[in-house]
Amino acid sequence: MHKFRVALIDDHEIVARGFAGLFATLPQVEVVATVATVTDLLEQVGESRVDLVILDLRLSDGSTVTSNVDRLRASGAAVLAFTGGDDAQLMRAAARGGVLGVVRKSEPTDVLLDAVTRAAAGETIASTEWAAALDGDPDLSDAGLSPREREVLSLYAAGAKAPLVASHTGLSELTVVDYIRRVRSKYERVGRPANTKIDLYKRALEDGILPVPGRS
Amino acid sequence: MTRHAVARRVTRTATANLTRLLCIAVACAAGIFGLLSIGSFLAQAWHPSPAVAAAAWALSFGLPVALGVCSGWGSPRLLRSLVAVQALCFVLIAGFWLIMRGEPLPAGADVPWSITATGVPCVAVAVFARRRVAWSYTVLACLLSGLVRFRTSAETNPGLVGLADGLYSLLLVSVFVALTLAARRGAARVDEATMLTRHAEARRAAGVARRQERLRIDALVHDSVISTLLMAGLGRTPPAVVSEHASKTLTQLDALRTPPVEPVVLVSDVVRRLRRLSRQIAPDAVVEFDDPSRGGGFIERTVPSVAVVAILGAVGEALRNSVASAAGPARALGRRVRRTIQVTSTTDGFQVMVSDDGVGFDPDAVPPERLGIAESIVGRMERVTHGAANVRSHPGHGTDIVVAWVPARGTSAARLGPEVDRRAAKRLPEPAAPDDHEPISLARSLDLSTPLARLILALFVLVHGVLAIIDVVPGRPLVLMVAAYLAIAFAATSLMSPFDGPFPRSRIALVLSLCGVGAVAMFGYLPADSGAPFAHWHLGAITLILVVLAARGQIRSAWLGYTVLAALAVSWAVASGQPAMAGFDLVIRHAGTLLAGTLFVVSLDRTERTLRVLNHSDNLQAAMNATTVAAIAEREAELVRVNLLARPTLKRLAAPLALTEAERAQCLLVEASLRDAIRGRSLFVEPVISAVYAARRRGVQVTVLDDSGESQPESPAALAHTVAEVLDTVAHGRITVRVLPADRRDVATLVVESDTHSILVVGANGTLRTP
Repeated sequence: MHKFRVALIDDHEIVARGFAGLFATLPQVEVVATVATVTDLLEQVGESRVDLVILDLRLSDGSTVTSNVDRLRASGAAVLAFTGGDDAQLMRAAARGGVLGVVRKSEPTDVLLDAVTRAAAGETIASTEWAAALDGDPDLSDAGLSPREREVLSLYAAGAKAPLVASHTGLSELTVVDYIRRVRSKYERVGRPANTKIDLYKRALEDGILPVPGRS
Repeated sequence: MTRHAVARRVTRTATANLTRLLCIAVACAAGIFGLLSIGSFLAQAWHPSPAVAAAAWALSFGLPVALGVCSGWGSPRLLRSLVAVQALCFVLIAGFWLIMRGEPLPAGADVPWSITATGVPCVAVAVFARRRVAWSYTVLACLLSGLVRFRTSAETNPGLVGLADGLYSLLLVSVFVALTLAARRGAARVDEATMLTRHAEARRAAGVARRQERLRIDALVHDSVISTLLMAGLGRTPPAVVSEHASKTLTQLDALRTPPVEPVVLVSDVVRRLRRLSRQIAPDAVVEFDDPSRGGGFIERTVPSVAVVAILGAVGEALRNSVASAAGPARALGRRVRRTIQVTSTTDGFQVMVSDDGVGFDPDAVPPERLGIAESIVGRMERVTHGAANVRSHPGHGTDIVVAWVPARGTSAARLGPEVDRRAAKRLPEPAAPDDHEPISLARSLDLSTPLARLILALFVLVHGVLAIIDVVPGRPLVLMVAAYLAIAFAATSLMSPFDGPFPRSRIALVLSLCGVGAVAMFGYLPADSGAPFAHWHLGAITLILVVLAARGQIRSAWLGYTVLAALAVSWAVASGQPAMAGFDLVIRHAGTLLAGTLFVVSLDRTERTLRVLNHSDNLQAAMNATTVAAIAEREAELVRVNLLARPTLKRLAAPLALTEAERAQCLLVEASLRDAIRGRSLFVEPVISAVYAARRRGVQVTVLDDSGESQPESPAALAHTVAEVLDTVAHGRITVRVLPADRRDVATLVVESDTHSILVVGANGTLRTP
């Protein structure tokens, strides 16, 4: 049977190990790494492929959400954000980076296992927290969502799941799920905040030279 | 910094400054008129008691001088008392003259010294008293002045002389009293505006500081407290590991209480100060502020004020260096140097790069005595925690100097930068720099279209009409005098017309030409010695016009006009066979009036400029204080809450004993509460807290989210009540409560997935409905 290769990144080792044990109980999942940073993971797995990385949004190595998601996705892995219930701004950064969704660590076990199984298969994980972060984004209009997409997103943000959203809007559940997938990809296309621009000063010091535009 | 020092109030106000200045102007005027009156005083000495007379003179002019001397340090009470005594003295002395000296004075010196400076006590009163009081006193003083003149005039028609003198005094004094009152009104407006700006600025800064502090604590709670509770609650971790984590978390919580909050400056303020610095040292430098937040939304961050001081000092030094050396020894050849100041504020810190495309230099070859760069830039920055500087230059390739504050990753507010709610920062208006303000100068704020100004103009026309009639000299061409009168009246009228912006040059030329025509016509009309009491009324009239011209910001033109007037007077004296000195005597007393007016205007404008700068630094200080106070308060409040919620449980976890089922459940309940406190801030109030707790104990999964940002719901109590009521009805299943973003029609949504599934909406007034 095909097993999805899943890795867990959390800088609290006990947290990481606890959840790694839990996810390893899933028959279709193989936990290939439990590490504290993205760099550790990339070093540990080398060239071998990872299907899904479950990434804690706060890592104490000073890395940003955006750069972490970018590096993981560049390595070919899908990313599911894992959070203690962080503020919306971090989740938005993750969503712009293209994560499949956001899951709260404190969700009941069955919810967590379901989310990991579906994420490993590449599905969108539309948790209430994730939807609320997107729906509350003051710049959401940049994503150009259709009125229906906005409505579906708002209902998810309110805490409804696909069946309730479907009955409330008169849509089929499949259509609702399709809408939420479109919301995710449109939001990702908006782009990311530019606060990850490499700091001029650091670059200058690293290079020993300060690049000045228009002068070589 | 102690809290007391932080809360210290800034008391410098425009009104206090203006009062001091006006007192000094009054003192100067008293000095001038006191000196000018010595001649009359000696000629009119009261023989029964020269000592009493001298005392009266000394009081008349000494009190206002004392007022000026005391204005710097005297209490308002002392200054008011001095003015009251001065005002009373004038009335008493005038009364004394009316009663005791009611006989004509010797011709030629028949203007009593006591009424030569009626304006001084009137303006002094106007500095302190209410409008109505000031005007009443002015009318009283001028009435007394006219009566004294009437009683003492040696003329054949003393009644007319007294009337004319009283009216003329009223006119002259009114102009100064009106200017004083206008200046006071202006100062009060400045104070009011300053207060509003300062409050807004402080509120804004406090908001930023609060958010940052909250995020700092939240980060710790997430990283440590919540993880520990979750691990303990889920029971997937050995008790020893949990206990170790719990102890570490408790230590971290304790450590948070100790570090003093560092005073910080908003990045927008730093940028403003950099712009000002650049204007002072290198006005041609281009300042670029690179705010890397997406879509132009501004993320407000802060920099410790210690670092700000060092950065400003280092940038100043870099600019001075560039100005002094970048053009090289061949500066005479006109080499143009481009200078830029690039400011960058990111998650990682704050950085300023000063660049020029000048001749550059070899940093290794800089002689040690040129300490400028080594010490004032690199040394200065290196002494600041997390400060750094780098200098790059090659001969012929310009110079780049970078100074930066780059806090270590993950240790301070720096990592919290991007999480600051951009929307909230955007909503708050950027306060304007003081330089952007329209200068509030007397010249600009002087409104001459008021009824009062028109009344004074009417008085001007009337008084000079009366004087002209009194002084009709038989046998002289009357048409000349009528022409002079009309020219002067027209000059005064055209001075009053309203306009926007600076006084138009054409208007100045018109006013001065009309005055010239009037003067020439009058000098042509007057014989060498007409003997009439107000023969040279035109000199006073023109001087008054010049005073108003000065008040409208045209001081140079006013004195030019005066010089021409003096020259005309001297020419007239010589042409009519008198000594040149006679002409000079005629105009010198008016120089006193114009000088008093000029002093008044110059010092007012100058103080206003200084005041703007002072106000600005006061605002910065207030904002800095506000950030410190707010950060301390927020930190204390957050810590109290976290400790209250989590400390007992953490203490229990720190003991390396296996947890019971009930204790594990308790851990998860506390974890959920902490999450609510952070993510559902505006709903973390009673009765919601209790209702949520009870629901969770029943096994209901409760999620509380607050997306209202910094604009909390209008009626939080009603919302909390409604939410708690719904929570109480749910026996099992899930419930999600979400406070909506501020721009939505409704306040909150509730989704219940229990026996039935329902979506509910809470409206603005707290009422519940289905959408």
